Amino acid sequence: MSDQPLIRYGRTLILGTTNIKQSTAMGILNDGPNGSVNGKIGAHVVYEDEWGRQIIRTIGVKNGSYGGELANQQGTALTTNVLKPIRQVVEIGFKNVPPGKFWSAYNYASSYTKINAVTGTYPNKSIDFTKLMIAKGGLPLPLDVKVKLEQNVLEFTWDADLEIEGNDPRDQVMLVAYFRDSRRAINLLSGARREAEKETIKLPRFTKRMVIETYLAFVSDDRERMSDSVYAGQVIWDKND
Amino acid sequence: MGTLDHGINGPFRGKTGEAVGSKGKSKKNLVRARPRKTTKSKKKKLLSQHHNLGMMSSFLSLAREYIEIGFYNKKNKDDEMTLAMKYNLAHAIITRDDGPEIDYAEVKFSIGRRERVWSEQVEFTPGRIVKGSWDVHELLNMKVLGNDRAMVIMYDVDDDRLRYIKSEPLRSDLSYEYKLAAESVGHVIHVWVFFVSPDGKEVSDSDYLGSGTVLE
Repeated sequence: MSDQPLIRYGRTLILGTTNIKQSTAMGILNDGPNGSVNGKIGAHVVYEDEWGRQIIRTIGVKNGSYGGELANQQGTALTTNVLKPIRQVVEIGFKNVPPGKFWSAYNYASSYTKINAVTGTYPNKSIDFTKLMIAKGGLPLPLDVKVKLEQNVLEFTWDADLEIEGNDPRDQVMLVAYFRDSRRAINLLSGARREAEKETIKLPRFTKRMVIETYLAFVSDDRERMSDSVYAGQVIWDKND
Repeated sequence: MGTLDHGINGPFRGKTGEAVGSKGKSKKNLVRARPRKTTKSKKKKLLSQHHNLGMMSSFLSLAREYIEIGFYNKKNKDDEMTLAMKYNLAHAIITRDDGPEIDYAEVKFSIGRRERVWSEQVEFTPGRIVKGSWDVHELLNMKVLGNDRAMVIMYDVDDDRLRYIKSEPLRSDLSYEYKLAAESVGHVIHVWVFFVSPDGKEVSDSDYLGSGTVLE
């Protein structure tokens, strides 16, 4: 066995294809001929992902992108732009909903956002901020969520309605103020208790007009359960106001 | 492209016969074939691509030391300048009536997860003074982020060179002030800033503070 080239095992056991040149084999066979491969073999690359799955995919230089691929790329770019600044919140808010062990909270949030919050057709796709979610879960939603801006302070208010089943007065609020033009966000991961019915975020001083999209969700005291998030509304900061 | 270990004569840089030597990521010595001459006429798209490439490359080369911090990515096989070129060619070229030019407001010298600057602005006052300022919001953990170094990049358009601040301000300083050289009077300066964690392992996206003319 030892005088046979390594690629023979890779081709037979892993790839089942004959279009790979033996001279370009660079993969390493772990644990002998029946074990896994790691590395590049011709036009394919084999590796283990964070969940221990063996992944094989093609690798090489792309010669441009066309049609639906460009539309897909624009959707992904929009999703990444909006989720990157709120990543901390999303990783808590979506941690209970991934449908399987091969999903992280952020993966699922990306997928959810791309499917539900990206609207329009290429090349004019955009994010529908009313459909963006920062958390998903079974905790009850508050009633009458409002936001207002006064003296550089965003004030969120809600009606806790503690009589509803499942409502815990010790749930904590999570808030997001997303600045759509500069693609930045202020994230409050552990705010006031549900029973307080009010929380504020003091904004930095601004010099130009700012459009702010605001969101609210609740997380249980043990940080294991979440509510769906609520879009609290759009607030505009303008120095002339 | 091949890598060159010590060999008989050691590494080399530049053209040597049909080979070109250079240094790559992690100071690896690379050797590649000399580019061939083409006899085909260049199409308009290719010419424009060459123009953009040259323009962006000469601009970003000025800020190489910042880019090596801002675009450092251990996992990526491309070096920092390649990543910066890739990003800025895609996002920071704008086509005006007289052709493509660099959109300075969109240029990035760093991309990372560290908290970005807030409420950034720049002001030029008499006495050749440039004052940059930024703010922080109340939820920012200043015990962790307050000691971030602010990397301030000032580009003199008329001289086509960078102006350096001798001592880097911290994020918690919320501003910096610098007196520019007398030769800069009347020149247009563009200013950017990004933050680097004290251990140098994390950076923020760079942000454009603005531009102005140096006043005497």
